[in-house]
Amino acid sequence: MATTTATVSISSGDLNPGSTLSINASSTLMKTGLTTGMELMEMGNHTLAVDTEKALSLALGEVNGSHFVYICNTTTDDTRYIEWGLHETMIGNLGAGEWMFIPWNNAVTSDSEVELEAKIGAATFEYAIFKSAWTLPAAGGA
Amino acid sequence: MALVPTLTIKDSTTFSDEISFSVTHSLTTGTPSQGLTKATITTADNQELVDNGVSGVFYFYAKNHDANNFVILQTTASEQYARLSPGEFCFFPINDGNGLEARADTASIILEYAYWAKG
Repeated sequence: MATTTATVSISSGDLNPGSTLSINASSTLMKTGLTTGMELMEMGNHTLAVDTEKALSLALGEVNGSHFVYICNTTTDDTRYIEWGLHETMIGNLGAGEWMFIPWNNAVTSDSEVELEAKIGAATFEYAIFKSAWTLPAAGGA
Repeated sequence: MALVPTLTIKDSTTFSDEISFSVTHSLTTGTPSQGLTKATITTADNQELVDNGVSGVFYFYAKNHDANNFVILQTTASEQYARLSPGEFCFFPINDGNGLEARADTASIILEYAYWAKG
């Protein structure tokens, strides 16, 4: 059985009074339910032109599916950031060098793309998507 | 104040090539912040964890401590964008105006969470 594990550690020496902050959490990526074995992984690098929106698409029909997305804004110019959102709702700003990891999901529509838009200037990003299942698109016919 | 989050992903069984990567970045944080907290999230209502009326960009961390049930994360306008299965975690930035709500689906769960304002 394929097993993908993700681990996050978050540390700080000056956030908590009198002690260091040290969070460690690890989990095996699961399909909906408690089954392991992600079936598709997609990785890539892209450059977004300023004010240009791109989407990381979900497979059609996977409402309430299990999908994980990692995105890192690899831009070095710290005035530039990437807006990220889902299904036409902007959620947050990913600054230069910042990363995010989220089990991306939408309950009401299969059109639940993660959307990215560069602000201030062009921005590069790397990403990885893990999907629990993948349906190949229908052939266009001969 | 500095916060250093690191993500590591490993998989040696899915593909012929092992997946193993790690990313880290030092973040400057300000106020307000919410230190590590455990809260019971119920199925009865959407529970607001980050107030949409507080200005700023927030780095949000959460982990579902339940063994069997998942929890939904959404904006305060009820736009769902994440579903944390048992034992899973997330870390991502959210903007002011969006807020963050959690709602258990099948039964109450214990959610560990924290957030820090971008400095």
